[in-house]
Amino acid sequence: MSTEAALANTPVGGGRLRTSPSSVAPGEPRKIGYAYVLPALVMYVLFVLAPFIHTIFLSFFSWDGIGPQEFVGLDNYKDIWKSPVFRSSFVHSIVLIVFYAVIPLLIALLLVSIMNRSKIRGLTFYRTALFLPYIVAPTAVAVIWRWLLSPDGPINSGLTAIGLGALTRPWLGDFTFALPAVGVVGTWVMSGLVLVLLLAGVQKIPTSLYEAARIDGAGAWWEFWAVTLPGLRYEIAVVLVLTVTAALRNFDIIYVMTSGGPGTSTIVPSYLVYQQAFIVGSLGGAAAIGFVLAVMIAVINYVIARIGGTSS
Amino acid sequence: MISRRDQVLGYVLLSIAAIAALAPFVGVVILALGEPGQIAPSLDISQATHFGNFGDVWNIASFGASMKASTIITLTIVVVSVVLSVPAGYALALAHFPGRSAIFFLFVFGLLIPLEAMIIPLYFDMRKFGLADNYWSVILPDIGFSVAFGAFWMRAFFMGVDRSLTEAARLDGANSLQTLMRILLPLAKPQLLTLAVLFFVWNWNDFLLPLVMLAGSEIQTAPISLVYFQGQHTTDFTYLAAGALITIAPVVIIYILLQRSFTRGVLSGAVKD
Amino acid sequence: MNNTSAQVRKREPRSRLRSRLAIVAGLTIPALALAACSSSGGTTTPSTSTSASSSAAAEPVTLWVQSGDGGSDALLKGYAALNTAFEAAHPGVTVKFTVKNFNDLVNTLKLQLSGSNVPDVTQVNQGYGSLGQLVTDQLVKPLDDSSAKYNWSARQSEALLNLDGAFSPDGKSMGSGSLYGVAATGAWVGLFMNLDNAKKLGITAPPATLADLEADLAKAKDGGVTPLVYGTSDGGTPIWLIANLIMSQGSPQLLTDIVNGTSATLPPEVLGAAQTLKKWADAGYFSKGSAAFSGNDAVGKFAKGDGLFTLNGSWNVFTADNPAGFTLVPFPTGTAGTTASIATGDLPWSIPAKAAHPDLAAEYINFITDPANNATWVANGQVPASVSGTETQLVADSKITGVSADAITKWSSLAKDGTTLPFPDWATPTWYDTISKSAQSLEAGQITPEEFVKALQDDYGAFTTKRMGG
Repeated sequence: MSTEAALANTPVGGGRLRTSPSSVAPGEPRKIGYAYVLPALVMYVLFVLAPFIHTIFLSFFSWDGIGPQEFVGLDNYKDIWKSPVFRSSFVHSIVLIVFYAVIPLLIALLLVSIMNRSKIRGLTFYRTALFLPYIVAPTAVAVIWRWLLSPDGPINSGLTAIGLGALTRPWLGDFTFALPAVGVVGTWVMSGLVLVLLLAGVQKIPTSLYEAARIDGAGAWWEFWAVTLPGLRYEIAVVLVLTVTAALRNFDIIYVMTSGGPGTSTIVPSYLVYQQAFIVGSLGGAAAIGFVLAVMIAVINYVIARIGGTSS
Repeated sequence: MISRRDQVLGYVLLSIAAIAALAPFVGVVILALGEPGQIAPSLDISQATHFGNFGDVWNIASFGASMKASTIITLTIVVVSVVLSVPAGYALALAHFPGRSAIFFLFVFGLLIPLEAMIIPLYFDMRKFGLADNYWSVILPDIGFSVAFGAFWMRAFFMGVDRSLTEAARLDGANSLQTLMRILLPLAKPQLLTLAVLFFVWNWNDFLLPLVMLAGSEIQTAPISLVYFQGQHTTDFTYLAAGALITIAPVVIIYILLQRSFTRGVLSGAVKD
Repeated sequence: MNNTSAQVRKREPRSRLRSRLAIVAGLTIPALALAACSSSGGTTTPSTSTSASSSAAAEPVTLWVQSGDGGSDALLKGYAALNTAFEAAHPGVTVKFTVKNFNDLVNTLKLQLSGSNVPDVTQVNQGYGSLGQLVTDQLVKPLDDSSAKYNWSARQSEALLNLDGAFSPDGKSMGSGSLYGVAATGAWVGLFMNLDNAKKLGITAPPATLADLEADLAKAKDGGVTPLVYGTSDGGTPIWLIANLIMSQGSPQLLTDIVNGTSATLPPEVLGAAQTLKKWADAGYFSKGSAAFSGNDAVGKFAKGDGLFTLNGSWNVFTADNPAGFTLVPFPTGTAGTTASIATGDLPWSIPAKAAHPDLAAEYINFITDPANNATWVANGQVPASVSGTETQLVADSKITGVSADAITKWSSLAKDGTTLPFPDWATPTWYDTISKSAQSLEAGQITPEEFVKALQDDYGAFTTKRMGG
């Protein structure tokens, strides 16, 4: 779970954008509003906004954290563009989006379309179970999956037991399969969340739409395509914001499971920020990667919000 | 309208999904209770009797100290953030003052910034002011993050409140603070609880911020202890499983007890009415 | 923070909101929950006094000691014993011993020591990458005065002291100048050999040359025994293997020259070593899936009977059912009759420039390197760095056999009869990462030996040129 998931989590009360008449009691100066907002605003500006702006500033400098800062213009950004490792980290992020966002969404849509609008008894139990991977610490998730994927771990022994011994491999030590293996962890974490959100969303689609589709002689597929999918547009946008952002960040799981290895086959931008800043000591370069990551997240979320028709 | 066959199929699929979500946890519990020190521990439930593993790991990885640190840090963040978020959301929803929407969008903007894009100056600037390597170095930035969301969340709640209630209070001569405390807060209880649960889960699980901010300190949070422990005992999977369970226990307990609040939190935003 | 909770502990949560939060909080640890809940009423002003440590001479003193030997449990047991003894010998002193693993220590040391909250004594890694940078940035104290006061040169050879802890005051040249760190235990890297498996394969003696070793590896492969139990996920082992292969391609001195950075260009032997590594990987001499487990995992598997050899450090005390069935020998050189080995102190102990109790810290270093304490190290299977000549007797007294006995008894003869070599990753701050990641890629066929050498050269050349030029 992460705070930026928050954007999606707006409780949609009535009249979101309605401008209200002043409800401040008579005799109260309207400026009292500042006093209410100020404490939160100060904390936010000091500890979130200011460091972010400082990051942009730092990204134009070369600095090791102790010595003097040297202005280098756009060099740090050029380095990102030129370095195969930096570039591949962004490619890995795209691959992880498939595992964190696309596959969970497809699984959930398939289940939702089959289950359609059946009333589910015991929904509370299912929700509790499906959410669990999402609420526990990612570091613990990573520790658990390191075991599941270990050379003598349950996944390999399971494969051997059902006669697929040829498929076993040291998943996290394999240049080809380490990234997908990390991706599968994301699929596991995200699928339950996506499913629960879509299940709740599908219940809100007016029955009349399905009846109308049926009168028109629509088959199951057409019903899904013409009624369910458009009806879930908002919910799909929300889950994409959550899952894509998680895929792009993903520091904890990479740090614990692979540290970017083997080689650099699972390096992602957020890990590079940490490595460049706190291990290599190239703070300007790390700041530039962090800023590029922030821009990527903002742009992708904006596009999703646009397509999903949610402009909050 | 829904055939019996679809209904059954629905339950089957949902159950498969639930099992897939739970199976690793069940495996980890059995593993954590197995005989420690095995290279390839087997999942034999009849051998899952080594309850002492939890005590061993608690001591080896100093979970006592780190669970305490995590508790202090997380609860401070939760309480302060809720207390700051309420008036901020209230003013952003109901008071009229110049710059209100600008401030609101500033908060929304903060929800988009990843921690990675601010962690470097955060560390070095806080260190300059002597605020690194102690509890505050984690608490203060996390409050900054949390209030951005909290203000956003409480504003949405206050905007949904029936306007006649606040009007009535105003006619009774209540000032804005009295309106908030006497009329609105009692209504907001479920939202506050949800907000507190969300803050708790986020901040308990947080890893990158304490990893950096506490690097030079002997203070560790529970996730940090788990990761350091793994660094030292990479394949002692039995102990690692016990450590993972210790780390997630508080969140899982709160989640199960307050899961209605939690699901409401996630669902109310994600699902359009 | 302690102040905060103490201040507010007595207050009761008042409002409904708080009591509801107390329910949330009460699920974890009720006492703490109360404290933290009511802190909402308290101040949120940051208290800067939390890290202040005031210690008048008369007051009890806490000495903060930071180790980077996390995971080496036997070594830590030795330190625990010595800490207790130190406290007993220094009434009023409490040793606060915190442990990180090697990577965490090295990665965070520079940031930590430049901050305001520093340990009194800490282990550091040798070399330009770690200790050299700390010296350059003046984050650690020179120990020359302490060395003279306690006469440390009588305990450890000048060669060892210099190898572990000597730098020019600008941190730019290693191995001479002032002393910045002293090691308590010795560390050398060698081949662990399973004698039972060797006998089954018809191998009667440890390999004397690289050619012998290759023949043994081939025999093991044919005989269905894992030739080299090998794990690369943590980086250490592939670095030692590459270093040993470089050493066995030519003169052992080569490795010392590379680490000291006498030239910014790597010698051709590095390519030879890379080709050998690739050849071994292709021949299937390494454990299957070596990139998925660590060097310590490899030792664990090896101790359980898997394989003919593994490569690891003398500090790695493994517990086998039949300790006498294993031996630890130096990696063979190119020519029979010459011995050379990576052999240095374990992570040396340094005193941060901002240490609160520098004198007591020096006293601590003196205590743990005192040969009078060698029995403690030997009892835990560790090599005492301050050789007293009684080690063989101590080993016999402690009834230590097999690998641990070899580790201790061969340590002193290595220095006497052979060439002791530094760890290769001391050469640059990023070489550890570069070599280990590149070696993983080379073994998996992702890059060629030439590309491997280029990756190492790029890193090495850039740093060495900068160091010599600046």
